[in-house]
Amino acid sequence: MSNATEFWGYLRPDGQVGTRNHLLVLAAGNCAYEEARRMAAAVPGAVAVSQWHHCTRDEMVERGMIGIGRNPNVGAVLVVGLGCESLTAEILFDGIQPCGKPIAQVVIQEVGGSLRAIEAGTRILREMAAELSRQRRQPFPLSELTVAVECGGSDATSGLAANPAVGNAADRLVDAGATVYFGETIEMTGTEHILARRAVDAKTAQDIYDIIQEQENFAKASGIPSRHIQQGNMDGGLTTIEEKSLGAILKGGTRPIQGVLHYNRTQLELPARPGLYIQEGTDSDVPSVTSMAAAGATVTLFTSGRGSTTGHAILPVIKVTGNPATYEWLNDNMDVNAGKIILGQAGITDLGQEIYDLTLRVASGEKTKAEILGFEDFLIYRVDPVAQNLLRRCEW
Amino acid sequence: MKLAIKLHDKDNVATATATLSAGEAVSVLSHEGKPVDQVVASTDVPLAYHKIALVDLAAGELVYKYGEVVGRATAEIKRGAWVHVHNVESAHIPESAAWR
Repeated sequence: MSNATEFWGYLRPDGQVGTRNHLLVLAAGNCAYEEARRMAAAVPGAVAVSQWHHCTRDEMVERGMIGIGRNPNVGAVLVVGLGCESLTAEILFDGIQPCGKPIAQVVIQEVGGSLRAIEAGTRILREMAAELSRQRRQPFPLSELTVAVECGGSDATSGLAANPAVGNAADRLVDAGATVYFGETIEMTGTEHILARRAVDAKTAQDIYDIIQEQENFAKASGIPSRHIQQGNMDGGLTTIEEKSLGAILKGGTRPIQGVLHYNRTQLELPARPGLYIQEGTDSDVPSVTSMAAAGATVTLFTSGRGSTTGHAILPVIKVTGNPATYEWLNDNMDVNAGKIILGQAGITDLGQEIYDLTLRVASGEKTKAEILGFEDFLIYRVDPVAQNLLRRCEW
Repeated sequence: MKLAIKLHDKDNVATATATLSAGEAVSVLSHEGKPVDQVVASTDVPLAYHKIALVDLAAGELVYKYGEVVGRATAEIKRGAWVHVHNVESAHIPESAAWR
């Protein structure tokens, strides 16, 4: 049924396998980003990212940034710091270095200002780029592939075509030995009993109830009635909260759930074995993809009915739309036309095979439309510690 | 002919991809894209991507889509009728964390 069962990736010193060979310039905070951006601009292929929360040492931001540096799609890392921040370049350097890939750091206040830092950083990047260009792809089984599944800009076709098609591809990937993540916990509201039924053990089932409950508490505290659906959802044909959430969770497929990967103020969990996982957390699409990248995802399948254009700084993002009009109108951005399902020209299973095949080709180096356009979307997700501490003192 | 998609064998509703007028025939496709049924709309369906019943449902019966319960009928629903908030409500009852 699903033919290819290997992909061509880059082997890292820690044994992980990347689908890309990015040269990453990681600014510890936004106060070092201008220099980081200029270093990356001087060496084609390098990409600069930062976090936009604070320069204080936030555990969740720190784990997320280290996770990004350790992601196997990153071949080498240059960490850039200003010098007076609490989340220092050195903390990130020390967190990433054990995975063995080339890494260096430049601290702007130590080397004497922006221009000296840019020169020093650019020279380091030049050496790293030469090193990365000598590395070659090798064939690997799908047990070395981790696929993030995400949705954004949904419409009435999402739950009808794109999400079921990506879910079918997710089932094929899991059956072939790969690992698949899906997240955005708040969109699981009303389906916790269905997800828990698919849990491989009682702990996972309990974890599913707990993370969805916590997100509901956040929603309630924000004044959002989490078990109601919006007028726009109803106009789009959704009748109940469980129907809406079923359409969203379907993008993760139907296979047993091996565990919840916690990502919060105390941990960033990685899976112990292949299979399907839920990652804790909720936010919009870019932070969600970045969170799954921090936990080791190396390819993203992204469904969008209205037509989200986002890519990612270190992950190839495959855009799947279930809306045939969006596929035509936003053809510069959409990779897969699951709108054929709506038109009766193909079945969900046909599209599942097409998406599976494309995922393996992209994992092996074929570029997505967002990559060809050079999109570098990136946002680190952070739970507000004040809100969380207050919520945990309340009864809901 | 207009189309409706039945996402799972167990489903008793399908999602029409266009608006429907009462008396209009709809071809129902499976998840494999194969025609599995033909239904005549028994009411208007005024918006695209809304559900129609594939069987007669009595008040209180469960509505299945994606092979899962998506709600409970609050009134009698005839085969071919529009299925939405006027005749279905959430069947979700917050459950205990009992596993299986």
